[in-house]
Amino acid sequence: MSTLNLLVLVSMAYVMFLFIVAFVADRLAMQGKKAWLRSPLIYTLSLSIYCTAWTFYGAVGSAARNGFEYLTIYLGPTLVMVSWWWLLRKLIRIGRTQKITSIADLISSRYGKSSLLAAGVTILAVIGTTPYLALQLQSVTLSFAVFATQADGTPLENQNTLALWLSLGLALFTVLFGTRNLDVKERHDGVVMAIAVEAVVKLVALLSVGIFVVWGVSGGLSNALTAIDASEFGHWHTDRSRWAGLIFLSAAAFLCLPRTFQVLVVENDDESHLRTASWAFPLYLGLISLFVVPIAVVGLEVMPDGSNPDLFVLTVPLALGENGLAMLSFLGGFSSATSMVIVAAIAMSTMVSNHIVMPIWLQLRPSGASVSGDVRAAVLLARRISIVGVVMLGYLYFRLSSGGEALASIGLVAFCGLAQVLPAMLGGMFWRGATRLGAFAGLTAGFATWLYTLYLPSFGAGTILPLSVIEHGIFGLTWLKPDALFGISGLDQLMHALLWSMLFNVAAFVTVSLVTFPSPLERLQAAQFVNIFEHSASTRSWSRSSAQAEDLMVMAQRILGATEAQALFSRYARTQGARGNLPDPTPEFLEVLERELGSSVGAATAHAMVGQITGGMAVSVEDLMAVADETAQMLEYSARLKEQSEELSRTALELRNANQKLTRLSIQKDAFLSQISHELRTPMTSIRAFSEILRDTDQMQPEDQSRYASIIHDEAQRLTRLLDDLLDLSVVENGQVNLNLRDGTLRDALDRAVSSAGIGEDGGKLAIERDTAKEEIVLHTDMDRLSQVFINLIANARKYCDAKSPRLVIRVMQEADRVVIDFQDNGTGIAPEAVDMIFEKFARVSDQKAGGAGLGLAICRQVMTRLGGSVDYVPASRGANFRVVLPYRTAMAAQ
Amino acid sequence: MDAARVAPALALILWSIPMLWPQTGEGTVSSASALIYIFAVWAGVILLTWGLSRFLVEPGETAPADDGPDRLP
Repeated sequence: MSTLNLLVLVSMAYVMFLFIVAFVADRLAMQGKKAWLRSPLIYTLSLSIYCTAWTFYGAVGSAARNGFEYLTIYLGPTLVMVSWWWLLRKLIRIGRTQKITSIADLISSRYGKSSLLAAGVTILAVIGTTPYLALQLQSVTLSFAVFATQADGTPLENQNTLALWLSLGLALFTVLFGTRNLDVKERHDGVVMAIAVEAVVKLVALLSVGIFVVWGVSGGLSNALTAIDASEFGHWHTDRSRWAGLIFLSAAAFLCLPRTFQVLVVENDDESHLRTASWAFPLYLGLISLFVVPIAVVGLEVMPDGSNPDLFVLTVPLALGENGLAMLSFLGGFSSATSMVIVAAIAMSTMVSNHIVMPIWLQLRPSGASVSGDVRAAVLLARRISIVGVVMLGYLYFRLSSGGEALASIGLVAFCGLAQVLPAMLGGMFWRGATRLGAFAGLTAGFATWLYTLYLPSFGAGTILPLSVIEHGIFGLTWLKPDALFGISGLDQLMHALLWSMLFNVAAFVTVSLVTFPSPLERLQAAQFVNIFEHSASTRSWSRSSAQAEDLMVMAQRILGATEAQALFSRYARTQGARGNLPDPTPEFLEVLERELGSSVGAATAHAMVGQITGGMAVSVEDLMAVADETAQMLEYSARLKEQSEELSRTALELRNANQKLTRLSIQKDAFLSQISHELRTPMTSIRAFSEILRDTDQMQPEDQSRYASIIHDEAQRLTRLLDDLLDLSVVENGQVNLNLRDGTLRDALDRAVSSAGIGEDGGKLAIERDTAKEEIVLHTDMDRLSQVFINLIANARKYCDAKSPRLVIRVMQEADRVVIDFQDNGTGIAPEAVDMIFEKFARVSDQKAGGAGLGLAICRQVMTRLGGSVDYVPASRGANFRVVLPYRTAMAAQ
Repeated sequence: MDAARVAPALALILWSIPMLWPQTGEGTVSSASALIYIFAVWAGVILLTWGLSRFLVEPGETAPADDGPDRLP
């Protein structure tokens, strides 16, 4: 028993080792150290999932029974790999661009996302894979049994318990590492790494046994070859139809088996890995099959008659006392079996949960699939349940079939069943005319034929198909005998089934495709599948999530504008704590984004767009981009139009204002001209009249003469004054005046003004009250101009004050930031309605004393404005009150 | 590029030749020679594919780096 105990111990240790490898690989992947986890070598090794326990043990068995036929199983995949340039490259490109998750997904996606087709392929895969899983369990239990028998001579009794524990362990491993990631399309780094390690173990084990057999037992290569020639299959002898048929079958299976499709297409991280795998995987297959015949020959020679040739790999080293080698060999077989179960369970669970469980679950839910977070959890749960279900189904099949069959034949039966997918797959990749109904018809026909001619009879006559059907055909129709359709007998049963099922399959596929028409979605997908290289110019090697965020970003930029979109994305990236500016496309973020987009293009479109990028791709991203581009262009165009019209209305308003101003100016100009001509005309008239009198009157009194001349003189003076004032005003108004800034006191300025204006030409008296003490303020200003203002104000008071004894009070007040000088007389003041007018040009309060041209106050106001102050009329209790304000700044600056 | 398309056909033809070998009687091929033939073809196919994989360039893609297939860990 010690060997058995050791075996159990070694197995446990090996399983632990695999767990650790997967765990570490997952950890490294999470830390982003994917470089060597995803190298071409790992990819190539993971492809070895094709070589199961059937290969490991069964190939030698097959060689011992049927000679060289076993080679076909490896030649087929080798041919497929060699065809990488025109076949696999296209398949992988399709898988990557269309986000294919399984072979069922591929078929359904190509044929217009048909869920019926996907479910059909899934069922086919389940039926085809279950016996295969049972096969793996059987191989492990058988190899255990060999050790047990060897140890104490009694066969292992609790095989079923062992198989159950094994199934549970494998299911646990698969659930742990196969459904670790929430993102359902994310690749399984841990699993792939473990598979690669197991691939190495397989190869090393088989090569070790082979080398031992050739050099250790036969005594060298040439001896081994002689031994082969001397053995019972010393001459080339194979069934020709089987040779060709099996090459085809294995090639088809390599493409169609769910597990190989999983590693070949779904787990592919980089298309360039295919470049290496195209020669490295054939090399692997060649090495695996290299020593099969020598082992078989030695096995037949060494082992007693009747021993199971399927276990020669194990029994030969044991029989020759090489326990260590046997242990290694056992581990190789164990590896083959476990890796196959794990990957098959992942692939199958993806298919079952996506195409059977989820559609049913969504149907049963009343609210539909609108809640996103909910669905993801459900997907994960469905996947886990599916894994356990698939593995347990294999166990159940193992219990029911309870061994019996030769290992290889179950494998071929499964191959044949899954090969039925091939016509629909290749047709979909290379023929645009293939339709959904055609694919469905082909699959159904092929599947039914396979079921009837191969699968059901494989259980043995009388198990499922009654004996009468096997012997006489269904309903007693002999031309429907399962092993001789249409009366054609003599063919090998497998070849018979393969021939007819593929024939019916292809015929139905092509015929129905020709007579049916594809839906628009099918056409779109067909074009994208067949012309995949035109539709995806560049290979994208980012992981899916970042690619999605990138796509979303591009789309959002086109709709929201670059800055806003970037701001939104980086804001969310910060809240998520993600590195860089791209947030993970979590449901929350998508919701926000959808809302943002909705504000630009409407909720329904936004939902569809986000859904298209994150979910299934009914329409390619490029198509959406085009739509988004158009929308963005329309938005931009209308925004530009709006801007232009706003600008136009602004310009129109400005023009209207300018026009109004011009009109006002024109009226003012007219008024000014008429005023000035009137002002000029009055003195001119009297000058002309009196000069005519002087000229025409001959004898004139000298005093009259003198009076008239003085009138002319006065009028001429008035005219001169008027013109001076006009000139002065225009100079001041245009700002052309040069201020002659100098220091001086306010008192000086007032003294000058009083002395020059206080006494009128007519000698009229004006009493002026001043507080000269308060006038001692030093100013830094144009003293002459300031005096001019004061003169004007004093002269006005003298002219217009109508009191009996006119009096002018000049008050100076010093405030915080200004000096205020009030000129208040004791007359009747200015009528309120005239106050507005007095500072206008040619404005005169009354015509009673038309002494001036009416420009005085206008000039004063202009001068004061130039000096930084002001002059205003301030209503007072009595009399006219003018207030001059000087900014104190002017005064301070002088001190 | 056409060589890549022809390669699988060539391999298929070479591996189909065993079907022409006589099954019984005189002139049958010994198992050892058959094995040697098949594995020799296999080696040839691997070498051919290896060479092709190094020289085939995808349209619009730069040539694979020379150290690509050699730089395996």
